[in-house]
Amino acid sequence: MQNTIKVERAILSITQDELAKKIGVSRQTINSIEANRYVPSTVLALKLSQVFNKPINDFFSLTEED
Amino acid sequence: MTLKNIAECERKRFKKLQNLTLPNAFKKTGIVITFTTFAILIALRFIDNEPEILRDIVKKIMIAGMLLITISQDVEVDELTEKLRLQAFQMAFVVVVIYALVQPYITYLIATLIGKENKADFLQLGDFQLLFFMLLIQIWFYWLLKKMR
Repeated sequence: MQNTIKVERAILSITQDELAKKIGVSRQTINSIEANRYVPSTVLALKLSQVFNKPINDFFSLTEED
Repeated sequence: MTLKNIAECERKRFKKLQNLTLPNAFKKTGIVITFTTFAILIALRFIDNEPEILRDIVKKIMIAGMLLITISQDVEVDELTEKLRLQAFQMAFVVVVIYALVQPYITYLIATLIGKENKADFLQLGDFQLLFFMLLIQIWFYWLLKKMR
């Protein structure tokens, strides 16, 4: 699983900390998701979708390993 | 109560047990208990003829303190920290099973090499030793996993 959360965050001009506060997680969790070290739950993915105002598929995609 | 209701009630009870965590304040209590009992255990080493039961009770309180540390939440809790905490429990469990299987033979081997008497005593592994090691490994792994996240 790979994602473009960093890009989406840059579009909105918000920091990791601001995004973390918006969806109720820690800044380190956002950092882990952006670095593809952690795949978030569906609930968290839907919260990100609300913040970015885009469908989940626009910023999360499967890789060949998946 | 129908069979379906009973099953639902059981599921809810089990779910409560699955999410067994304590508020963050218990972590500080656990740390205080663990360090205090550790200091008492060291002090008891320098006291002659101390009652054996006292040492046992202090050890059990120490284990309870470490348990409080492992099951109490952090200041910041989210799904990643919860996942890491459970991963640390899983790793600690596996390490302790291996430790319980291997450690007595290693100490027995060392006792043989240095020519100690009553070598059979070294094959014994106490409950305190196992629980202490398991909780210590959990705390350490959780700290390490959080640091590496």
